[in-house]
Amino acid sequence: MRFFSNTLMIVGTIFLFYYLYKLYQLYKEEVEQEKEWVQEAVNEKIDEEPEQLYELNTDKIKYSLYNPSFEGLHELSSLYKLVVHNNLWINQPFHTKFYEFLMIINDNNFMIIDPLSKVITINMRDKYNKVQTSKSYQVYSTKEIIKYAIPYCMDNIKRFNKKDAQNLLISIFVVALKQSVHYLSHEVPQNSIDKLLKGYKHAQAVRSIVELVEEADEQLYFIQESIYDAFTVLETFPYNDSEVSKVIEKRRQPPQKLLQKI
Amino acid sequence: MAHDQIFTLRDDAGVELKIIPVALNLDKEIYLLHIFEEDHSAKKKFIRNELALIGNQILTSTFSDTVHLMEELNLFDIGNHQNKYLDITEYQSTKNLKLKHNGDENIFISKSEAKAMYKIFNLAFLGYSVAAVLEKEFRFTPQLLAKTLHDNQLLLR
Repeated sequence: MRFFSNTLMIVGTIFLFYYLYKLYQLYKEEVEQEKEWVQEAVNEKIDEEPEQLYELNTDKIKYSLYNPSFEGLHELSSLYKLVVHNNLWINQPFHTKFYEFLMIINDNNFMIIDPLSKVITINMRDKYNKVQTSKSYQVYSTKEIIKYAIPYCMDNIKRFNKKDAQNLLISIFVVALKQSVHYLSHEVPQNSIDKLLKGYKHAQAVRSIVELVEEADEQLYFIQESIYDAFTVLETFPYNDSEVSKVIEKRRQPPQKLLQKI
Repeated sequence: MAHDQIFTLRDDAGVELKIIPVALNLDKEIYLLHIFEEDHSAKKKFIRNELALIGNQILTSTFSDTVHLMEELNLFDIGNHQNKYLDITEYQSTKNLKLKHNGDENIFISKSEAKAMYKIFNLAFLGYSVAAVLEKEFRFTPQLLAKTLHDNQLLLR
């Protein structure tokens, strides 16, 4: 009996060891398998094909732009490029309004009286022997002032968000026009400026900016500063107010946009 | 007013003309704009026009008008209400001439000032031929005069 129980214990122990051994082997296989998978995954990652890059053919993209040189705005085409091409500010209504202001500045000889000018009254006999009185003074061309002021302000303007920056640009035109004279009219009539801004979505914002500039707001002082700086750089022209008065010209046909590459 | 500046312009025949502002009275800023041509070969100078500049105003632009103004100065209180350029006024029983002009400022001229100006006006012709101004006076247009003044920085304060 005792022998039987001893044998049973021995056999039981052997089975137990065998069972543990089998468990160990299974565990080992599993670990090996996992290692293999990890290795495979790592290898797969390394061997992964490079991502396919599709280049945008930006040189083939065309934008709907105005053509200043084509429409007689040769002198202002560099300004158009600086503002519209360089920043891709082709969003409406800014794009068209900016171009309208460029056209009115280009088509009319607006002048800003030199603050340092003397006003000399001339009494002169005309060809009919009548004494005509006129005034002479020296002036700056508003077109030249705008050509100088916008590049001068561009860095400052870009610090603002796009919407404000665009309103600031339009307000430079308004500030310069408000200081301008046009032939016999003593000043550019406010209603001409109002007509230009009529229907413009951000007209009120532009008016507020102009008011701030006139109040010498510190943050916007660079606009008036650009005009003062232009006075020191640009040449003056003589002006005599005996010339025939002219109406402010505005083009009847709207400008045409063309698809162009930048 | 830079009265010592000499600058040039040309008449219709392309003859070079010079302008010299001659000071008649510095206190009242009264100048004679002396316009003349110069013939270097003949060593002669010809007056082509005389303009009177008073303050910021070209009062007369033809030779006859300028002479007329100078004669009114010369007449002083012998002149009368028919005077074109100068009114006779009296202040504390002293007679003065008052400039008739559209300017904001009143310009009064005393007797001695009037005499001095008339004297300088006559001296200004010494060494010049006056016949040319009578025969072919050079007439400015307002635009040309404005340009001439500007070219020589005389429109600057």
